[in-house]
Amino acid sequence: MEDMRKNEMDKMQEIRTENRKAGRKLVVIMILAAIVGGFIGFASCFAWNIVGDQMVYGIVSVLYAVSPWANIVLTTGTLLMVESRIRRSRRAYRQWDGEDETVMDGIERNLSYALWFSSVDMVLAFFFIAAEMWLFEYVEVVNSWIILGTAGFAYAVAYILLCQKRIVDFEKEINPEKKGSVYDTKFNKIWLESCDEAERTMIYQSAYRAYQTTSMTCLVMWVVCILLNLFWDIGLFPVFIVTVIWGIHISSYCLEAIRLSGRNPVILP
Amino acid sequence: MPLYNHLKEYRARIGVNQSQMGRLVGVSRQTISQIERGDYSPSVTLALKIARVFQVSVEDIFTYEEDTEDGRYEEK
Repeated sequence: MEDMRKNEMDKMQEIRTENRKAGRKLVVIMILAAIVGGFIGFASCFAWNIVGDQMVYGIVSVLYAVSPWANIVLTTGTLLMVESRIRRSRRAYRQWDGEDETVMDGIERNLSYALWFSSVDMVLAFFFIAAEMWLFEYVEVVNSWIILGTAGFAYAVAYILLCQKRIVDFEKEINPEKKGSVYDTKFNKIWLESCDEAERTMIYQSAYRAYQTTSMTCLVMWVVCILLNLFWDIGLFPVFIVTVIWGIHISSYCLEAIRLSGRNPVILP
Repeated sequence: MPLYNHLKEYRARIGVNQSQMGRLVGVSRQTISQIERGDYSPSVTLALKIARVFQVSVEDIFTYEEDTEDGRYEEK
């Protein structure tokens, strides 16, 4: 009994020491962040007077020139890159002797990079179509510009989906146990169910890394939205969107952790 | 990582590649590759399935070794 009490006290002391050490570091970081944030906020008022209008004009000009073509160019580039990677992977797979695992690891890595590039391209496609809509407020656009931009977006979405289908189909050829079609709305669920324990562990570790990165990104975007409001008076809505995403992001993680922590727990009074 | 294995040697004895081994125990080639490299420790279920393929015990394939105080490994 005495040993138990001693262990508890040692643990409490360890907790207090850990909190003290980390707490001091956190206070320093918060003070530095407050100083830097205050300086940037103060400087931004002067910066707007110097470069504000020119910055808006510059961004509008660049986007007006680039937006209608961006999706077509980026998607064509992605298509060519994905096609090249799939061909090289197929060639390597045909020549594989069935033993050298570095060949198969290389093929898997090739396909993963191809999937990553196509996913980033999809996000950029959504950005550029939104940019075109934003430009209506600043420039007088002609019908051909609108048609080109819209067609570019449709082309991007259709062909990126096709790229991803080709990558996933080839992945299923080399890993016959994999299931799921890219066109299926439940693809992620079906794919995960067809993964084995090691693949699921890898997915979960990657998801946790994404959670950490997204949490930091939400904080950074919150700061960016505050600064942009000082520059361009963009209003509260962007900050609201960032905080909604942040809240959902953290809540979905916590609620899933609670759900997984145990069935039929005792409800404490 | 304290878990070591002789999976590659056992696999060579019965003449199967990683893909074939994966099919025998219901996992992917990648998983077999990760186990052999020591990058992944299989679950108890998977370790038992692997041992059953070779008709040996789990301890014949997988060895757990811990650091001793003087830095030497001690087989358990």
